[in-house]
Amino acid sequence: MTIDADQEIEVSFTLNGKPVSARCQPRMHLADFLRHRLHRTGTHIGCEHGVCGACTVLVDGQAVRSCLIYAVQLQGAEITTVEGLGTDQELNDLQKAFREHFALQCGFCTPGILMSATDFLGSNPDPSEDEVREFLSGHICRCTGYEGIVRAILATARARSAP
Amino acid sequence: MKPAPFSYAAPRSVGEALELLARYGADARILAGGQTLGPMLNMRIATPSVLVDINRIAGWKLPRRASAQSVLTHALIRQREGIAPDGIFAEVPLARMMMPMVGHYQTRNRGTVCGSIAHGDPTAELPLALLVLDGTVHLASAKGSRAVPARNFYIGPLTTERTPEELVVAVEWPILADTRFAFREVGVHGTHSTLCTAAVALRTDEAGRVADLRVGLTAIADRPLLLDTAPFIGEVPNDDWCRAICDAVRSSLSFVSDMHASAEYRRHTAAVLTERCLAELTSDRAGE
Amino acid sequence: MTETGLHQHQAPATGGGWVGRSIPRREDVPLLMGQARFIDDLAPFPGTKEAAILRSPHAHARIVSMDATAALAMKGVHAVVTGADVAALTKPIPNAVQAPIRQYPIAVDHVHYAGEPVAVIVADDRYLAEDAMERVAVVYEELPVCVDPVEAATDAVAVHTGVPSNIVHERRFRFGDPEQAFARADRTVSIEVDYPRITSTPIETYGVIARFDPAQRSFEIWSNFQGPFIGHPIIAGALGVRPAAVRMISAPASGGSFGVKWGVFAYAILLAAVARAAGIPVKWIEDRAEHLAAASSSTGRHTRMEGAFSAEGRLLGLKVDQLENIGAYVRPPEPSTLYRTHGNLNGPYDVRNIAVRNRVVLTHQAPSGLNRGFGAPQYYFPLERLMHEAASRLGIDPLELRMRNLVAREAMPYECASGGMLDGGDYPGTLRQTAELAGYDALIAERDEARARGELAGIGIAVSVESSASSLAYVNAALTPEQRAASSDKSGGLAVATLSADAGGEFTLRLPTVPAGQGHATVLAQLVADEIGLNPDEINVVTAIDTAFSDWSITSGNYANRFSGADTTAAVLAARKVAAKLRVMAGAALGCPPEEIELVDGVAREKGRNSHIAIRKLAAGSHWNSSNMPDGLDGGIQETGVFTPTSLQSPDKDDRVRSSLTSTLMCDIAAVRVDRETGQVSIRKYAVVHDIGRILNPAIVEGQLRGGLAHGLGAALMERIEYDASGNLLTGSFMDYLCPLADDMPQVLIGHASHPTTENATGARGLGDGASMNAPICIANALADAMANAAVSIPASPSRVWSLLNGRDPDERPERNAQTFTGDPGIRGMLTGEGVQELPGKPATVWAALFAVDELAKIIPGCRSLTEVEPDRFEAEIVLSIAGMRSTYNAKIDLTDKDEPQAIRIAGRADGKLGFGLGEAFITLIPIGEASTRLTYRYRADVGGRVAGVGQRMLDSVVRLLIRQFFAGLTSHLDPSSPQPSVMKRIGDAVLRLVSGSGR
Repeated sequence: MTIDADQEIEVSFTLNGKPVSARCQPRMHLADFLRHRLHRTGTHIGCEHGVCGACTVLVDGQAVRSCLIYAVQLQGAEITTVEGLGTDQELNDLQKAFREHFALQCGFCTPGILMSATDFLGSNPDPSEDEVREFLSGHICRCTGYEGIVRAILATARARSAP
Repeated sequence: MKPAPFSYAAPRSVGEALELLARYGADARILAGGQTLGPMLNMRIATPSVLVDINRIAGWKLPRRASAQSVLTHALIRQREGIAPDGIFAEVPLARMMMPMVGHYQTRNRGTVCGSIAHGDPTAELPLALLVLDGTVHLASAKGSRAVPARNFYIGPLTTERTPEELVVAVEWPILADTRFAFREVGVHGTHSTLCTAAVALRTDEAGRVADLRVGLTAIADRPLLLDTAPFIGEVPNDDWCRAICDAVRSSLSFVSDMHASAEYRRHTAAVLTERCLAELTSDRAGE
Repeated sequence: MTETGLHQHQAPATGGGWVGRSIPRREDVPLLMGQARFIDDLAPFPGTKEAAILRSPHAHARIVSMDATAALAMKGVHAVVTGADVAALTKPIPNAVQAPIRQYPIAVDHVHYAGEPVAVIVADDRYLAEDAMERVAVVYEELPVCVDPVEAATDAVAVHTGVPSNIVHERRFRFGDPEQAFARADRTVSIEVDYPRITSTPIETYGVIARFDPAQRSFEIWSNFQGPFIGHPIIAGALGVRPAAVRMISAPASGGSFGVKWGVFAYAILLAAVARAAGIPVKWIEDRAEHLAAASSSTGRHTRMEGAFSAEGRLLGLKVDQLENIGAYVRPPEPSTLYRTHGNLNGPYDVRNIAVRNRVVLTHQAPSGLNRGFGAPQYYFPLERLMHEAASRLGIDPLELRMRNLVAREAMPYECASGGMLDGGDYPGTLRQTAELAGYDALIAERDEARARGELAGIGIAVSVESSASSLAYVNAALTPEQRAASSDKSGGLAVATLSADAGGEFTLRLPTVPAGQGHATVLAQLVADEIGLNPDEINVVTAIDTAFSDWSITSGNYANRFSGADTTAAVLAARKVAAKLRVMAGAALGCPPEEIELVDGVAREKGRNSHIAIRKLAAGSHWNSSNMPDGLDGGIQETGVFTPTSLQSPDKDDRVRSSLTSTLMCDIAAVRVDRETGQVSIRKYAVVHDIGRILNPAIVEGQLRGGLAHGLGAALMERIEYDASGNLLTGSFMDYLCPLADDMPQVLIGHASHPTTENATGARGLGDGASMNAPICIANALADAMANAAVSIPASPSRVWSLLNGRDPDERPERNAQTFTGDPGIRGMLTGEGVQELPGKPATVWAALFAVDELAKIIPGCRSLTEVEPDRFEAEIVLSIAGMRSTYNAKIDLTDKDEPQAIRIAGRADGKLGFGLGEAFITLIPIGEASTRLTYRYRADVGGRVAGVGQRMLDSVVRLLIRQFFAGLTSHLDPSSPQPSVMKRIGDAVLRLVSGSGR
């Protein structure tokens, strides 16, 4: 069944553990859907061509550029954004590490990196610095020179694997 | 940068997808990983009337292999699955060793192996690997299916044998027994923004003579290119042999200029990278 | 009124010791939670619509007509505002050199750069606005293009019709006695370099939300404009209203700026005018393609610099010839980029004889603006390259050469020949410290060993001075003394901050700045905490600007590294006033003189006694019991600190000016290796020492240094804005404009020298530009050393480095320049080709077939229709897919120079949504035997628009394929029985793919 270009359909998925729903046309990408239909503005848009990584979110646990996937594709998916990392009261360990290691300055690229790192650390619990830099090369940061980010991710990995 | 309007279909079967392609032809685009098509849609460089999302198709049936010794990847195998030593490319070392260079960690989560092959970006690693391995692209349409050898698949810049009504349902990766592989890549940053990539496959017989040699290059022209290696089969590799191959790379292939590198640079670097691959593959033979 | 203790860096009376600690940033929590509010997260006005900007694909053209009828007919589209509409509602933007150019934030009847706005579409959302944008039909008449600044300086092509010269500014300056210095020099060394245009690309782009209030005839503009707020009167002036009628509000968070978001001012004018014209509030969020094309990239500078040296290496004099490319308009603040370093032309060196010729030239490129470094990289690059080359020529170690010329410690503060002031520091000592940090002697030894092994190894040094807290007035050095005398005086670098208490006894510091990641609020809290005896956590900070409420002036904003050099002093002054008042209040409460009160750990207590009172209680009391303040003090606590740096004056009659308040010395040393075969550069070691005086928060400082270094590495190795000769922007996306990534960064050793400045109350100098200035120079010097080649240029990307190593021009593309023939001068010939084809039939038959319209329509690849509209003039509709980009093109074809049946010229152009092309082909037909013809062809073509961004590599192939298909079809038509070789057939089928669309 084809959805016409000018038709709006209801897109429903789980966002940060809760069911959400809103309407959009097929061409609306997930980043815009999150920001303008669901009013979760933590996910940012930096280039809309998949290079800067600012829009990265988790789809079914995996880091995905939300500007390169259309909301209509996500029916029934489980999506996690930066708003779902900690709680209202507390940052999670990765977020705390970013703060401790001065891993952000303007913070615009940060949500995307946090989500990407969440996926990466899930499948690479004991990364080397080179491995961290390599996975981080899917993100552009113009403020920090990346050092603090690398330290924060390595520190989080170490802390998570400590007995 | 927002896409132009498109209708959207998410077929549940290959047959349904092929019917859509038959109906819409060049007005449709296949959405698999979306990592390449997404930017084109967002930039309005691609303006299909219909987007055919194949991500909901389950139960891909793999076509019959052209040879007994090959690995088939269907259209929804994600690039990420090719990285692990025991992943889909466990028996295709050339593709496996190139996988970390393909895009980035994040794009490999969605990007598909077949998508990269079908797109044919002139700097992409997987089309080069397929060419060197002499693999096959399996196409299907509402009218039937056909298998196109990689050497016939890439025609021009981002232009392949695939007609608009066809879908790449699988790609076949030959397993080359007793063969060793090497590849080298140069980019503007480290290995990103690739300027030149060389990949070499070498098999020698018990006497140490070359039984099979394949040399492929990409990022040098509008599509991946294979060197004619017939003249170099049958010899025992030595410095002269390496030199002759590198000379052939320089003289018989075509090279392009763009803002990132001159044709001269690409010509020179293609030979250098080929030489480095050959050196790697021949240097520790002595230790065998 | 200046404050006592101003010119004395003094430790705070409370000694809380927060300043100097790396306390975590308070900005982090909302950012990490995704709760910070950037401009696109805001919706201040109900009913706001979204705008998309239609931009010119041409670098130079006259706008012949614009038809928005189809766009306006679309549902959800509210307005299409043209340049003429905007010009009717606004006044032109002024420029500092009185160039006779009318400049609006949108093109009115001519466009002068690819990407210049030509219309603004207002619709319900951005998706719709872009749909409507495609339906605005603009007809352009293309005009000659000049993108090269050296060429533009010859005035062969006028960048603006009717403007007599592209050189819109030229001035010479002379300080000391340069002629004498050169006459007595033992050696003269010269260098000629280009500094490329780069852009700092913050990850957040520009954003403006504008509303016009027709009742008040006033505007309210929300944006991420960074300041300086001299932009405010410029905006108001352009909008034709009093400054008081324009309220500008900064978004609470800004995603990076690096100077780039000064350029938001032009879009603030544009969108405010659009809101007025459309009668509805409008929001515009710039996309990345727009940002790379038309936001704010740095100037490009061509410099020839000569140094007069004694045999011992003393720099006796400098001659500087600068040609500054500012793009297509003199957009404010230009020529500030050129004049930023004017006061400090000597750099860190003691040289007093300097001659300068400055020229500013227009080109058909986007107008330049602030970027990280802002004019300093462009100046220090030639200066430090000169020092490097001089060291080599004179046979003196490059480090030693610097040592012999650096301003001595004893000479501080040092008044520069051109008016600047080096406010303090130990320059030779800091360079020595850098050498120790880098292990300079060991680096030399390693380099020499590597060279002995045949490797290319080099060491580079860069020493420069980073200015901060700019004077408003330095750009007036561009005017002559007579011009300055005729205009009103300008001066200053004012900074203001207000500290107040609320009814709960909490304090809030308000400082009008627009931070974009620098941690201003955190550092301000540290400073205030130390002054009034609280914890930073107890100090609220508001760093934002609302021109209706903030204590701002035209110098307010976040630019020129002024935060630590000037803004922090205003905060400290405000805090000291509050502390003084608290001591009076506490003294009265505790029964002792104020001088006996110390403010510590949240209480005011009598020294040496137990009696104390909570500061919070005192502060709250000023609200609740305001009529009972002691000593006739006013109720409430609200103190403003104003820092008026009186040393920042207008240029004097000798063109000397103190451009900035503080000067930070920066020394970088790098060791590199070059892969001789691939041209790849690897950085083995990188050491940097800065003297920023007092370090307010070490971790924040380190972050700034590392970030600046990343920007500098980008310029050194991979970043450059590129236009082709037709003015098409080639670096239109992050796929081609390359930014450094995490795995590009080398290990960096960071050291600090710390000689506090006496120019302000904190002892801190500015930082922020930092290594963005030095890294390109340092790496270029290291490469010059490694390759023993003075012609090193940046970006030192692999192909360019290899070209230099092999005696080639790094930017030349020889096959591109090999024009096989000349033709229409209006066609540059970006694509050229030639070939031969044998065809069945005599020439007369082939000729007839070539021009039989109905048949031709079937043969031309992708042709949907072909009509002869006049004799020898055709129109066609062709669908082409070029490198996966499929579009319909309308083509107009003319046949001229007919010499039937032997020769003909075919000229034409094609226009489509994705781009346009124009070209010509010359065809000759020669009989071969009785029944064949040899057709030779030569063609030249230019391509523009998005298709041009695809790059020539693709287009050459595509054209070749199309030609082959055409001939395959023609052959078939001439002789249907002729068998097509299988290769031709395969190519023919493939071209069918090409024209009908393929790829994924």
